Amino acid sequence: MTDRPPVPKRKKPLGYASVLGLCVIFGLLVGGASGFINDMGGAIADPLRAILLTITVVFVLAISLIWWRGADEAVREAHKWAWYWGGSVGIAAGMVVFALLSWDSRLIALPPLEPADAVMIGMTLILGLQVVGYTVAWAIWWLRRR
Amino acid sequence: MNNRLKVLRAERNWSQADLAAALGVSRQTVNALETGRYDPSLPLAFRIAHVFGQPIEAIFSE
Repeated sequence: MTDRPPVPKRKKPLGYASVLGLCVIFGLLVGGASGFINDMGGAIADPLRAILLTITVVFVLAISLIWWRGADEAVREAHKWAWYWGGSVGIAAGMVVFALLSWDSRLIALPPLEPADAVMIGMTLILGLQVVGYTVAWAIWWLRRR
Repeated sequence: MNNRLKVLRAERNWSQADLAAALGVSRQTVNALETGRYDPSLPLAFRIAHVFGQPIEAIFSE
C-alpha cells in the first residue's frame, strides 16, 4: 500500500519563520517609532513611550497566543518543560549570584551603581539566566526524544 | 509505553511527514512518538487510531 493517509483540512499554523519575520518587522517599526519619539522630546514623549510599550506588549502576547494555538502537543510540552526546569534553574543560578553579592562583597565586586542601574542589572541578569536555562532545557527535551 | 507506530507506518509505506500531516502534528513529534520517548495525549492517541483504522489497544501497550 503506498497511498498517503488522508489529510484533514486544518488552518495552517504560524511557523517559527513566520513568527520571527513578524517580530522582526514589528521590531523595526517600534525601533523607528522609538527613535522618532526620542528626537521629538518634550512633555509628550513620556506618554508616547508608554503607549508604544503597551502596543509592543500586546503585540508580543498576541503573536505568542497565535503561535501557541498552532503548536502541537509535543511542541507545547517541550516549552512547558523548558519553562519550568530551565526557568527554575535560571532563577536558582541568579540566587547564587545574589547570595555571593550579599554574603561577601569581595567575592563579586560591583562598581558603585545608581539604584535604578542596580535594579536594571539585576532584572537583566535574572532574565538572561532564565533565557539560557530555558534554551538549554528545551534542547535537552528534544534531544532526549530523537 | 510501547507502540507499533513505526511498523504500521512502514506497512503503509508512509513517510513521517505523511503521518504528521494526517495527524496535524510536526514531523519531530511523530519521531518522538515512534521512539517511544513521548506518550501522546488521549485525543492524539484517538487520532492515531483513526488514521491507522485500528483500536488504540492494538497500537499502544504498556
